[in-house]
This record gives sequence, C-alpha cells and structure tokens, in this order.
Amino acid sequence: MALLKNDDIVADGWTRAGDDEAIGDGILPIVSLSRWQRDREELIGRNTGIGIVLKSDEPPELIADDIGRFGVICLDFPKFTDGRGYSHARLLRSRYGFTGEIRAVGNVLRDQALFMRRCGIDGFEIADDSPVESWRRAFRELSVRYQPAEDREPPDIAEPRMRPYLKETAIGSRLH
Amino acid sequence: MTAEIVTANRLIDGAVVYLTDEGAWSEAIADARLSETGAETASLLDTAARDLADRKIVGPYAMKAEDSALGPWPLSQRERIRAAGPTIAFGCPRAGF
Amino acid sequence: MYRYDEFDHTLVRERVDQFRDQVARRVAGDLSEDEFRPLRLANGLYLQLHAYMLRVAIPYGTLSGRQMRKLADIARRYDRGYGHFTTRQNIQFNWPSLTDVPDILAELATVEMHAIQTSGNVIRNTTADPYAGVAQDELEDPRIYAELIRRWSTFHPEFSFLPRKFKIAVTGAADDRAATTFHDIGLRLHRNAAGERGFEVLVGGGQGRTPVIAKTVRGFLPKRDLLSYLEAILRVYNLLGRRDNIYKARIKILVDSTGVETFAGLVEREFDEIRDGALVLPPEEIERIRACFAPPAYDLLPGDDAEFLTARRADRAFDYWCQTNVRPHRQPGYAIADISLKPPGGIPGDATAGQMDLLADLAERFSFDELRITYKQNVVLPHVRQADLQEIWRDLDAAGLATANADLATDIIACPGLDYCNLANARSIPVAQKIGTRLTESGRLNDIGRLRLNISGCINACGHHHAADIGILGVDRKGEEFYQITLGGSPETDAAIGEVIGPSFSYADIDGAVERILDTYLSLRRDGEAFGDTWRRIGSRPFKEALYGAA
Repeated sequence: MALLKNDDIVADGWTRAGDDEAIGDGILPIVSLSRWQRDREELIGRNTGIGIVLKSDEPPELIADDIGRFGVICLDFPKFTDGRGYSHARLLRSRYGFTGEIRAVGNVLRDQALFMRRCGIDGFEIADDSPVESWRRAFRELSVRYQPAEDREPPDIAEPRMRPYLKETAIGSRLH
Repeated sequence: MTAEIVTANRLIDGAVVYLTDEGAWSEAIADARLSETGAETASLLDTAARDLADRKIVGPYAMKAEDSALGPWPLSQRERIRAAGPTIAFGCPRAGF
Repeated sequence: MYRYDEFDHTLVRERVDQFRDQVARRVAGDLSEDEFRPLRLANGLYLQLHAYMLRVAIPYGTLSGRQMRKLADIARRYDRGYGHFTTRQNIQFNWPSLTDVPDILAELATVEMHAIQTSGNVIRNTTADPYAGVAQDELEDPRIYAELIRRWSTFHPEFSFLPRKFKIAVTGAADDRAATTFHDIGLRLHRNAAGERGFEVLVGGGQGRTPVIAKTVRGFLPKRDLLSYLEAILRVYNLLGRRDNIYKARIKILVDSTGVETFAGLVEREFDEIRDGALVLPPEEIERIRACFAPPAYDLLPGDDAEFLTARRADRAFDYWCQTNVRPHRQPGYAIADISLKPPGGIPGDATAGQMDLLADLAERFSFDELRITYKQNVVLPHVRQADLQEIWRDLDAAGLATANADLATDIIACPGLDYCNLANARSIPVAQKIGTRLTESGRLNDIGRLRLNISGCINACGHHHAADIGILGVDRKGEEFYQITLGGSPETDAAIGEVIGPSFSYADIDGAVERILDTYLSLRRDGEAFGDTWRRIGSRPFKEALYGAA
C-alpha cells in the first residue's frame, strides 16, 4: 500500500501493529481501538507518537478524551459504500478539534476521494499500482461547493467557490 | 434438471442478450444455447464471467427455459417479458403526437 | 422560476465531465461494475429489465417550456419517443445507451437540468406541493425551502454513502399534496401559536415492505435552523442506520427501533452542537430565493371570467373537464389546470415526445412558461387565465391529454411494474389499463367521485398502494400474477396505511374485484362521504363479504 497526501505519494512514518504484536523501539505504531483500550498506559508510556485505526462502527467519541494524543487517526472503510467514516472524519475535525492526519484505509477508491477530503480526511492509503494522476484529477473534478464541510485543500488548489450566503463563524478558517 | 440458458445485459447499451452456441451474445433468445446439465451451465457461466471481466456484459445469470419449435423459451413470466419486451404498446393514439 | 447562476452551471458541467470520465473508465475496464454502480446510480442511471433507465431530476416538480421541450427532444433522439413522469416529480427514460448518457446529460445541462442524485443511497430529489405558489390554501411557497435543501444536499460529502436512499418532501398549505407523511423527512410549513412561521419536522415515513407514517420529531423548527436541523438528522442516520440488511436500512426502521423520543433526543443533541454554525439560514438568503419564485406578472382581472362561464354552459365536455381538472387559483380570473396522463387504457404517467412539445407550447403561451409535475404522475399548468382554458382544452384534446379524471378513480398511480422493472413480481400497467377502461365504460366515475386507486408491482410499493383508498399489490403466486387489495390508505393530512382485505386475486379477476369494492362503497356510503370516510365508518366487513362472501 502507498500513502497519498497532498497530491503525492509520501513515505509513511507509521506502522500498523497487530493486537498482540510487540512494538519495536523507534516504531510509531498504529493500533486498533481494542488494543488502545487494553494497553493505553503502556502505549502512552512509550513516549512516542501513537496512531489509532477506528472501524466504521467505532465512532470518535470512544476516544474523545484522548484525541490530542494521536498523531494519526485511521478510519477504516470496510466497503466503500459504508459511509460512516465521512461523519467520523467531520466530527474529528469540528467536534473534537483534531488537527493531526486523518487517513482513510480499507476500500478507498479515487471516486470517493473528493468527498473524503471535503470531510477532513487528508491521508489516503491506496493500492501501490493506483495511478496518482487519477487521484489528483479526482480531487479537482468538482470546483464548486454547495455546503460547508471540513474542506482541506492543499495550498495550490484554487480556493473552491462557496455559495455566498454561508455565514463566517468563529472557526471560519475551516471554510478555506 | 430443467434446461437453462444464460442471459445478461450488454454493457454499452443495456440490451438483453443471451449466450449462444458460439459463445457470442445475441439479442434473440432463439439463438440461446440450451444447457441440459449442471456442468454445461457452469461452463456457460464461466464464459459469462470472462465476458463480464472483459466489459462485454453485466449481470449474467442462468435461467430456466424449455425447448420449443421457435427455440428456447423461458419458463418464468419475468423472463418472457424480458425476452419479448413490455406487454404494453407505448405511444399516443392521437395522430401526430 | 429558479434560474441557474454561475455556481449551478459550473457544478452541472463539471458533473457531466466527471461522469463522462467514469463511463469511459468503465468501458475501458478501469472500473468494475461494483465500483461503477454507485457512481452511475448517483447520476440516475439504473439497469432495468430491458435496458438502462435514466431518471432525470425535476427539482420540486417545476419546469419551463424550454426544459420540457428538451425532454421531448431527448425522448426522440436517444430513447423511443416517450418518457414517464414519476411519483417523485422526476421523469424516466427507459431505453438510453450507457455510452449516450454523458451526451444526454450534457444536453440537459444546456437547459439547467441534470440527473444528479436521483438514485443511490443519497439524498434524492426534494419534492413539493405541485400547486406551490398558486394554491388558495397556501401559507407560503414550499419551493423556496426545497431549493435551499436541493443545494445543501447536492454533492454533500458527508451524506453520499448513506445506509439507504433518502427522500424529503415539503408542503406549505393546509392540504398535503406532497405526501409528506410518507417521506423520510416531511416538512410542513405552518404558523405557531406565537404567529411565527416555521416547520413541523416529521421523520421516518415510507412505503415499501414496511409502510410507516412519519412521526413528528420537532413540532416547530424556526426557518433559520432548517439546514442545521436536517444536517443533524442525516448525521444521526448516517451513523446509526443499519448497514447489515438493506431491507432494514431506511430511517423509518431506525426511528421505530430507537423510539421517536430517543431519536429526537439524538437529533437535538447533534443539532445543539451545530445550530449556530455555518448552516444558519439568514433571512436575506430566504428572501433572495423567495424572489426566484415570485408570482408572475398576472393580469389584474376582476374575478371569474364571464366568457369562461358562458363557454362552460355551452360545451358539456369542456364543462366536465373544468369540473374535474380545473382548480381555483389565488389570483382572481386565473386557474390551475391539471393535465391527466391517465387516459383510460393508456400508460399512467407516460407522455410522448409530441405530447411533451404540446405541453411546452401551452406553458409558453398560457402559463407564464411554467409547468409542474405532480405526485400523481400528472402535469399541471399553474398560471392559466380562465379565459384561455377552452383553447387549452381543445389543444389538449387533440393530443389525447384532456382526460377529465383528475383525482377520480381512473387517476391511477401505477409503478412501471414487471413490464419494465427488475424488482417487480407482477405487471401493474395492464392492470391499470383494464381497470381504467372498465370504470370509464361503466359511466360511474363521476358518481364514485374522488378516489385514490394505486397499483404497485411489488412489495417495494413504488406505486404508493399503501396510501390509496384502494391499493393493489402485485404478487407472484407460483409463477402466476396475483393481486392483493388494501383499503383505506391516505397520503394526506388524514394519513393512513391501507389494510389488507383478504386473499389475492388473479390477473383475470382483479378488475372485477375492484368493481365489487366500488359497488359496496356506492351502496353503503352516506351523502357526501368520500371513500375514506365510508371505510372508517363501516370497516372492512362489508367489503370482505362483497369480495369473498359472508364468513
């Protein structure tokens, strides 16, 4: 698998650790929610970055108190038609103020990329042979926005045009 | 077992098609290959699976049919309508409309 | 009428390009059918029994002459010369090729039309009262809010992979002509005790396998909060709706299993977090959209047109059509004209390209270039001068569009059924034809009066049979078509789900059974009783006896 961020394949500093796998020194682990709940103190005690992967039926409120501890939160899409991750991503950004990487994993296809990004997902775990150019096009297919979300455009994409009435809010900077 | 034929819809235009002796897809049910055995049906479905992957057809399946003077004919109402088209005439009875 | 601005044009154009690319990738093999299916459904493209079927959106059922002409044009050039209007105020074409659809969408875009989100597990076309803006019992035009909902829901990134489809309807009048109680969300504009205007929010209605009447989740929602509240509902549904079983995935199941009060609590909690966010609807925006639906430049007329009244007295057929199909209008001297697409023996809801052209013509000449599509699969000319009605009627008659049966027993809602639909168990259109012909020939239509008779070809109930006085459900009994009857349903403010009356009837016997039900009604009703009133008064037994003999 490859990691797509900001239009490019980038090296992934994180490593998925199975529920019963020992985590080596210097490894930045991504663990499941059940492992986090079981090994929380130990993982915190490692004093390294921690990542977590949430299944589609594990909403962010289950880690609400610990949001700030995670460097990356992975949202699993078991089938691309399971749309719960989109709400989870938005809640992570707007409700819980998460500013780290939200990464879509699982059945992640370029035709959903734009919607995912608009919900605040900024990392995409994609197949190795998935053409990056196709993903770049996907992010740019619709330039107009009809409703506010958690848009996070990379700086070089022209600001998406939003319908004028949308009220500026205190967190207005979210509406890039 | 009841005889079967394999049918699908053509990808590019959605037309109902039937798998023939030659492994081609014909809009005419009369051309459909009638399979008398489970093994033969399985083999026809394999061909269909390949043609699905090859983007010729979508949604292939086997359906029960019987032999008749005019070729294979479906047993179910649904497949008969699928073969022959809607049972109603469209269009307006008023000339010019 | 609403006209596209730069945003809308761009969005529709980009969408066409996006879909063109998706079709190309599908044909080239870069997308599997499983990957492609939700993408084509999000552009209204189904694969049905005989061919692809394209469902084009007619937002809140309003369109112009130019748009109707384009639909006629598409029917001619890309289809088999006709289209079918639906219970959700959309139009369906039954024979397009996949490879033609991007071109069809591009042509639609030139007249501000599209097929966005008319299928798939997304928020669908938001429907509204077909008499919006012109009905005498209207408090406020619901299309203003339907338009705001249309925008908010179009390409909503969070709600594009819901557990199941999602349908919203809005009404702004005393009578509910939009069947709001049978929608996932129904919105009813009204005035509260303090005299403020806002929405009653009903959630969890639907037809289908498990028909349910929507429950009130919020008795009064201020307009300012409309979109935030909808967002809260959709978010709760997206998170908690079932994803393991498509037959239990609609919001009606969630509301039922959670309990309406608990459900309302979940929505309110979500709403509280977002109520002062970016979705607040400022009054200026509402007024801006209201201006798009401003009444046309009506002539100031003194009231009922004398010539119109004379013409009615002189021409019995015209007079009869006026009685059944012409409704009073807010504006003196004007009328609402219902155009029936239910000629006896015809295909309910279908119009040929030639008929569509005529309708466009009439709209341009006589109705300030505006048409409506109704929940009952008919067409409306909403702004007609009484003085013009006779000429209109003559033109309609020449085109087979002057059937005088609006809201009568032959104004049948019928789904496409087994003649067209992959999901169907039985045919519905020929049943509608048989019943329509038989009842018309019996000469009793007038006597029977207003009566809802709906036919569904399968348990998915797209013909809305649950909401009919006489509902007919096609079933498959050992490979034969049989029809089960339900009685006493209603989609209006007296919403009710029809009750199954007994064993089903064969295709040969169903129209006779319907006649016996009508005989029973006519023989037992009291003065002025509509079918529903008689049903509620006398119950099922007389009908069961008429159909099946004394117990």
